Order: sequence, then C-alpha cells, then structure tokens
Amino acid sequence: MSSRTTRSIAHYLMLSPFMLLFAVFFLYPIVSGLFYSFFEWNASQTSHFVGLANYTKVFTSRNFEKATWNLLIYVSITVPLGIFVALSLALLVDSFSGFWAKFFRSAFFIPVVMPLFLAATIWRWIYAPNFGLLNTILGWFGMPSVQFLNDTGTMLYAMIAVDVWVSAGFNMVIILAGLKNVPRHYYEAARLDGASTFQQVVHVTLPSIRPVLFFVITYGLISALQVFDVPWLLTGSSFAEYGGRANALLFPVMDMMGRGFGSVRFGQASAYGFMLTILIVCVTAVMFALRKKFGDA
Amino acid sequence: MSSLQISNAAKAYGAVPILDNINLDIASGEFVVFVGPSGCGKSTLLRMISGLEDITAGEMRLDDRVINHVDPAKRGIAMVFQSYALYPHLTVFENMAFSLTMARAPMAERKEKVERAAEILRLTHLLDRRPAQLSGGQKQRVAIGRAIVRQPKVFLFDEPLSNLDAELRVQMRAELIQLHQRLRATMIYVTHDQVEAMTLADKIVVLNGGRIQQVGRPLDLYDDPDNKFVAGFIGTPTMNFLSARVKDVAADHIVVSGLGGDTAAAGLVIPFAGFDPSIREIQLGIRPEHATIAIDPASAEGLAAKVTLVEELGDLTSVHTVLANGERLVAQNHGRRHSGAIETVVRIAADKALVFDMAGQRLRPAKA
Repeated sequence: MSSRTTRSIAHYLMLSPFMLLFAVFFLYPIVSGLFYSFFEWNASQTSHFVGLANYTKVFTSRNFEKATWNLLIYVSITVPLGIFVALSLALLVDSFSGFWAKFFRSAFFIPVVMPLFLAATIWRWIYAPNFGLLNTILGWFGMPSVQFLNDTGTMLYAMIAVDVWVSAGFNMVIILAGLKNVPRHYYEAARLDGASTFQQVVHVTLPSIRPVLFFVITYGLISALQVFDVPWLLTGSSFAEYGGRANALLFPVMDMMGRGFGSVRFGQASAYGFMLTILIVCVTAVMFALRKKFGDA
Repeated sequence: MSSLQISNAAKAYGAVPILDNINLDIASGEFVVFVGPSGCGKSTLLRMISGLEDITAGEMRLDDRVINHVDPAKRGIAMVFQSYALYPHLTVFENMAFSLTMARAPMAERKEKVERAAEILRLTHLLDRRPAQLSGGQKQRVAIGRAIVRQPKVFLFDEPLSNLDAELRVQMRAELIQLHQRLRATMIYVTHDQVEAMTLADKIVVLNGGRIQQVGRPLDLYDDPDNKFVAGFIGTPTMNFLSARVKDVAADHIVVSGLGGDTAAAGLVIPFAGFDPSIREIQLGIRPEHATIAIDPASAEGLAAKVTLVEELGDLTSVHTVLANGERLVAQNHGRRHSGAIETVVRIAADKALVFDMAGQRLRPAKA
C-alpha cells in the first residue's frame, strides 16, 4: 500500500466520527423525510405509497395559503426591521466607550439570553387587553384599549415586535463586531472630506460592514422562514390550539408540526418540511450568489 | 497658499501632557517637516492642525483666522494618512472624488477636478480600479490625489511613506518634492525618519517629549544644533558624544583632556571664543565624518580605540569603536577600506567638534 493511500485512510478515519454523526442525525432524517413525503403514514399503521398526493394536499389546503401569506408579510417586515434596529443599536453602542458601551451592550443582549418562555410571558402581559402596560399607556392618552393578541389586524404586527425585540441583541453584537473592524481613519478621512455623520454611515460604515450585513440578513432570512417559537408561545402553545384567532399567527413550521403531531399525518408533515427545506436552500443560495457579487468590501 | 501660526499650543489627555508650549510660524508655500522619535507628539500636533484633535490651550491661526474650534472640513486642510485611508469599495475615481460627492458637486466638476489631479499624479489609467488592485506606491498617489482634488490651503502628510519599501520610498520622496514645486502649496509632513526630513523639508521642526527642540533649515540643524538631542537625532550615523575636561581656557580656544579616558594625552585644542572658564566638564559632539581611522596607528596621534564593528558601504566605511573609558565612537573612512586592525587610533577634526554642557545644551562661541 502506498504511503499516500495510508495517509488518506488515516484522514478518513479521523473524519469518521463526524461523518457518522452527520449521517445519523442529518442525512438520515432528510432522506427519510423525503421518503415519507410519498407515503401516507400515521406512525401506528403500515404506511402506503401515495405518490405526490401529500404535496397536493398541502398545497391546496387553506392553512397552507394562510401560513404562506403570513410568512411573506412576516419575513418582509421582520428581516429589514430587525436589521435596522440591530444596526441602530450597534451604532449607538459603538458611539460610546468604557462603562456605557459595556452597559448598553449587555442591556441590549438581555433579551437574547432570556428564556423565550419568559420573554413571551412578559410580552403577553405588555399586550394584555385590560391591565397590560401598552393599554395602560394608551389609556393615559384617552385612547381605546387594543386587543393586540386577539385582533386579527394587529396580531401579526404585535408578534413581529416581540420577535424583533428578542433577536435584535444577537444581531447587534455581530454588527458591533463588524463596526469595530472598520478602521478609524476611514471616518477621520471622511470627516476631513466634509461628510456628515449620516453620510459617514451611508458611505463608509455600511459598505465597510457589507460581509457582516450579508451574514446577518442571510441568517435572519433562514430564521424567519422557520419561525415557530414566538407565535407558538403567544398563541395556544398546544397542537390542539395554535395559530391564534383566525390563524392570524399561523406559519408553515407551525402548520407542519400541527399536521404531524396534532393530526398525526406524518406524510403530509414530511412533504411540508421538504418543501420548506427546498425554499430555505434556494433563498440561501440566492443570498450567497448576491454576496459573491456585491458582498465583499 | 496659506500661512499657519501656532501660539503657545498645548495638548493634554486628562492630566497627561502630550504637547506643551508649541510656537511655530509656517510661511505660505513652505514644506515643513515635523520629525522626532515615536511618542514625541508630532502626529498629535498634525492632528491638532487638521482639527481631528482638540487643542487644550493656545491658538492656531490659518491666514490670520483663528481655527481652534473650526470644523475639520471647513479649515481648508487636506490630510494624507499613513495607511492611505482609501475606501476599498470605491474605485480610484470615487475615492478621489469623495469630498466632492459629499458636497454634492455636479458630476462634470468632479470629473474635471479628479482628471486634473490624476494627470498630475499619472493615475489616469487607474481611475476605474479598486484600491486592492493597486500597488503601495499607486495607493499613496491616490491618497495624495484625493487631497489635491480638495484644493486645500494646507496639505498634511502623516508618515505617508512608512508603509512603502526602501526603493519606493526614495522614488515617492522625489515625487513629493516635484509635487510641492509644481503646486507651491503649504505642506506639513510628519516622519520619524530624519533622512526623509532632511531631503524633503524647507524647514524642519524637531520634537521630543512634547516640546519643540529646534526649528530650522535641514543643514542648519545638522551643522548648528541647539542641543544634544537635535545633534544626535539629525544625521546618520548619529553624532558621537565624548565627555571631556576643560584643561585650559584661552581667548579663542580651549584645551580639553581626558577624551575617551586617555589621561596621558596632551589635550585637544578646540577653537572656541569666549568660553565660560567656570565650566570644567563638557561633552564634545563629533560627527562620524569628522573622526577618521589613522592609516598607521603605530605612529599616529589620536585616541586609542578598539574596533567592534565595520560597516562597508562601498564608497564609505563606518568603523564602530570603543574607547578606553568604554565610550563608543563611530569613525568614517571615505574611499578607503578598513585594514582589519582591531587596535587602532582615531583622529578627530577638533575644529569641527561641537561643545555641549553636561545638561546637553549647546555652548556656542562668542560672535566676533
């Protein structure tokens, strides 16, 4: 056996623990998910092949239409708003130094480390119809009480606010790391060239942190497409009751979980999951292509 | 072209003084170089002129207008940074036009000014490139071009050549001199490299410990330094300093002894009119070119020395020696190679020796 072959075997042996775990916990579920998406299976009876029927049923269901529509609105608001808030916080923290920089950085990061259940509870109290904080404040100005988590016109936006609040700190820390890497003399040169603070942000800061922004946007999109926990906790939090009033907070992952663990239709849930995976892979591929074209500073 | 006056300027960070009692007049069209060791405050002074650093005390006037609190962009000053500060996402054209873009100048004006500056700096063929596609020298020229486009009253350069290799540095130095001659603009340049200072400056400002040590033309500082620091900082190899005892004081000369620990020697006669006879201990400053290795050490008169290092530079040989009392002395042989001898004799041109008191201040002969 040549020394090269021996070396290759050694390399593969060293990689094998990871490959094994990857195969068991990633490849197998994906492949079996794809397999079950062509079968009708309720986990107790024998499955039988149904072709593309599961896909057709998912596609033509009203819940799918509602969940997709909710997701579209949610993604198109949450991702840009979340990035804008995180960027604003990062710029604010970056403008401070010493104690106040540490204080604000820690303060804005608290929602990230807080258990989501606790965050949802706090926000359910803030949104509560009678004694909630927001309605109390609205009451001070003589405005009528709003059913933030019951009115189908406000539910989605109330949930987006919670989601942005929860995720902004994480994105802020990543953007802040990017800001710290922008050479200070870029700003000094811009100051001497007459750039206002706003012009410095637009012409110096944003282009300089483009790779970081691409990462945050891509990660934000992937997370947003899989949204589940926040609307789940703000609504029924059970497979018997989820999605909120008139399904205003129904999203694809929630619908998929409901079909699987609520209605015990694992074939449909698998088809749902596989379609979602394809969508996320496509969005990620587009983001990577865009990054290749525009992202390198 | 503009003149700059700095009066009693000072800078402190909290209780830590950085610069103190800075007084300086820079005439219109002058090329002034701030030189000094790291941490002497030269870059801080430049940044105070630019407005990037506040002035703790004193006053700065540009064309008789006090600019202490004027916004950096409104001072009419352009600065070239050590690291060029070129924006990597913009092309050369966009980098050079940055100030005009910020001022929302019409595209025709941007194009005209950038193309004119690019022509001066031979950058026309590079206008569409990004900084990453440029060499160090080209980046440096773009940074200068960005300053030219602003048509400033004063150009500031903060160690602009320190990132370039030795050969390119010499080339860029020549280009800067030509640029200054062409633009006739007031330029202030910061460097820690005294060769750069000597070759570029109309006027050198030597700084140390946050204070101006001496201001003058390059050769004036070389020939007639005010103190040991300036004498030692200007010139390569650095000036030799030997402690000596004043043995005899006459009207037009002094006789010193004990040079290099040689107590047996008769003494060295140094022309010096009006020497203060109360001073007994002095230091002599001797440039390496004024100390030579004797061809025949056995019969020559001078200071006995032991050779520790020989630097052969072709036309010039620097011989590093140590004297009997441990003081070091560098001698130079012009057009002559060192014989290889370890024990040697160094001859000193006494009429070229500079006299310093023990505090390091220069003692000058009385004028006739």
